[in-house]
Amino acid sequence: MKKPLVAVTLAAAAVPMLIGVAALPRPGDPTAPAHTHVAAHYIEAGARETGADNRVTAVLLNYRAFDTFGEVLVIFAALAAVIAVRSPATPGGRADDMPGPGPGLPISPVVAFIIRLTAPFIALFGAFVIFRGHVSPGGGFQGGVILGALLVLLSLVLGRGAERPLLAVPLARWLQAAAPLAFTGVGLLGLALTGALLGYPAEPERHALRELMMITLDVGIGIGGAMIILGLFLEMRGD
Amino acid sequence: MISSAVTLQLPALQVALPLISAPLGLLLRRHRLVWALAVVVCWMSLAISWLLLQQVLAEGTISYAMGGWAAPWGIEYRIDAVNAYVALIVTGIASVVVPYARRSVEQEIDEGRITYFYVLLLLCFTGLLGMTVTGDAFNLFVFLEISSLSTYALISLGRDRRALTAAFQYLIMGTIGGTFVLIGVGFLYVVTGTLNMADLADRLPEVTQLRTLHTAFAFLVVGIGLKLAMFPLHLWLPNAYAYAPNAATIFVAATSTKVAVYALLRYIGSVFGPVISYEDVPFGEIAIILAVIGLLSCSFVAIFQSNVKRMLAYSSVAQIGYILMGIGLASKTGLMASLLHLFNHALMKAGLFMAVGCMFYRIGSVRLDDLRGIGHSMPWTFAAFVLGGLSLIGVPLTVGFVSKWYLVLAYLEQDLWPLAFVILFGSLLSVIYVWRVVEVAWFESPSPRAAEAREAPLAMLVPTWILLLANVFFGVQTELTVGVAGLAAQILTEGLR
Repeated sequence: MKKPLVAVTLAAAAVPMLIGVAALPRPGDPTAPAHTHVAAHYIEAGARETGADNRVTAVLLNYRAFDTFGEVLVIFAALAAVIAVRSPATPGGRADDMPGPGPGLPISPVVAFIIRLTAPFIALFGAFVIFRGHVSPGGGFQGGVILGALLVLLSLVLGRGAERPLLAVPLARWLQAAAPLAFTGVGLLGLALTGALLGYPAEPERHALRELMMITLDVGIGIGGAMIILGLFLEMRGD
Repeated sequence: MISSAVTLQLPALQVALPLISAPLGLLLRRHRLVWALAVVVCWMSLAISWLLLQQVLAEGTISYAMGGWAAPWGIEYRIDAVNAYVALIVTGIASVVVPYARRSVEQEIDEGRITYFYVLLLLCFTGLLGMTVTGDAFNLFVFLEISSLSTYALISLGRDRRALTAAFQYLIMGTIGGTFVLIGVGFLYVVTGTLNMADLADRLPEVTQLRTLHTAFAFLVVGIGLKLAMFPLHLWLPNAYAYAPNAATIFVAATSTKVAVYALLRYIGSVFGPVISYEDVPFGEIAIILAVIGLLSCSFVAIFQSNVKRMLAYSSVAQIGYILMGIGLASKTGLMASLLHLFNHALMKAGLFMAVGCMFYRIGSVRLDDLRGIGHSMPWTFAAFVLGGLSLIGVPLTVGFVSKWYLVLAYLEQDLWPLAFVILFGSLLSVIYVWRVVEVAWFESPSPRAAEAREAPLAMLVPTWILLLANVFFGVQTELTVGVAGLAAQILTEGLR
């Protein structure tokens, strides 16, 4: 009963979708609207207008920065949702927010050694990806995921138990909210300087400030993203 | 000077204020403080949306370029009578529900989770306002995600274990809906190269011959239809409303589907336009048929519910039927009736759910069996329920009458009197399900729980009565709602050319 229904539903969604896809412009067609209208402007004027040498960053942190603000809030909402569902019933119940090894299998010494050995390199690479974000591919989200993966690995070998978290819970909360906080700060600064929320000063002599604002956003996204990945891992591992 | 500078920023502040306050709420940690923050933010947002509405009525459409990037390149916030009106509904309801929520939440939600409840509520509020105020198709999707994600979590915080499965069910359905919206927006971008709604409306006529456009329309309508619980995509709604914490049910029931209806109206009226929506695609006919089936079947199902929250949830799906009937007609009066019903249904359903929440606060149950005789031990609360019920039925001098009046008028205009009769028949069904509760609560001997109950605390009773008096006030003083809804319908029909 259920299976044919599922098949019919999927077909009902797939057929119009395939019809729609079939009528799309050929991939890579330079005359397609997707390449001639807004995107063309980004490519032609993006670097000049935004001061971000990387066009993706120009869109992400400049033209459509408010979308990015929204997206960091989506990630933040995911963490808030998971903590809300999994948090203890009473405030003093159990501080299970921060690093601590589960009572699961002990980590093999080989794995622990490799993790400790590679950790500084992973950290350096994560930081590199974050800080290069405004000039080359990369940025806060990608670097944040690398750092987040590193924190997850480290929490396996360095954790000191749920009773003694590596970071105090209030501090962890601030770091988890780093991305929205960075956007708030930079957004309000932009408001004060240019009269538009998330605006950047356009004067050439303020170019350094502009770059600093973008780097602040990237660092905020990176730290916030890493802490949220760690938070999700710790909340959901179910110890 | 300062005031004009602030006025310029109002469109951004409408969304940015709750957006910024949500993460701050998590840092406060003391749940009373977070609650106070939420109250302040909701009231300020209400003031902002009121000022925006006045500004729109006086000066016409407001456009705000986020980050100073002009329209098709950057994200534009664009406010006209339509979304100023919807923003007023969302902020108005939030301003009453959040003060009410304190006692209700302290009783229903474990102390360690209350902070997160308000943070999630603020996130949901942010998402709904963002969807309302934005003039950008992708930005709307981003805020749709924020509101959906927080709504799933809010529902899952219900005390009943079934809240978890209800939230999961909604998570699956809502994610499918969100994905469909994203696919639709993606198709639109590929065929036009832009994401700005006004720009889309300019460029779509050049590509009407593409089938992709119809696919995009279908995906957007189905995706948004899932969020607004269009029959038969409403299956997630009854359980979600029934098992969520009362404060969450009130807020979500009164605002979330309304904003989804707004998004649908915006896409039909201001992006696609009539050629695609009503001529190329038989959207109007489909909407009316589904609306009528949903209206009748869900009203009928509501009659047999033993859980009052579930009953009201089915009634919500039926009421969305009325709204869709107005949209399907594509006439100015029809759209105006739909817009009026957005406002009016928010008032009546919030009021009803608040009254039910007061009863739950005292007796810990909303089953009809336990509500026997509750009318005697909680007279004020139950009088509020009756008033809300009358408004739901559409008795004159309540808001329910106003919107149904215009809807019937819209159908008579087109000589579709059988469908006008359906509207009246739907009201008759709502008389039955409201009466069932009244009969049990007033005319049966009290259940053990109801006999011990006292009147609800003033902190909950006062907000409940504010909303129910609003039901009467806007039912008598129709100038504001009818005026703005008329103007909004005008804008949307002009979009429909």
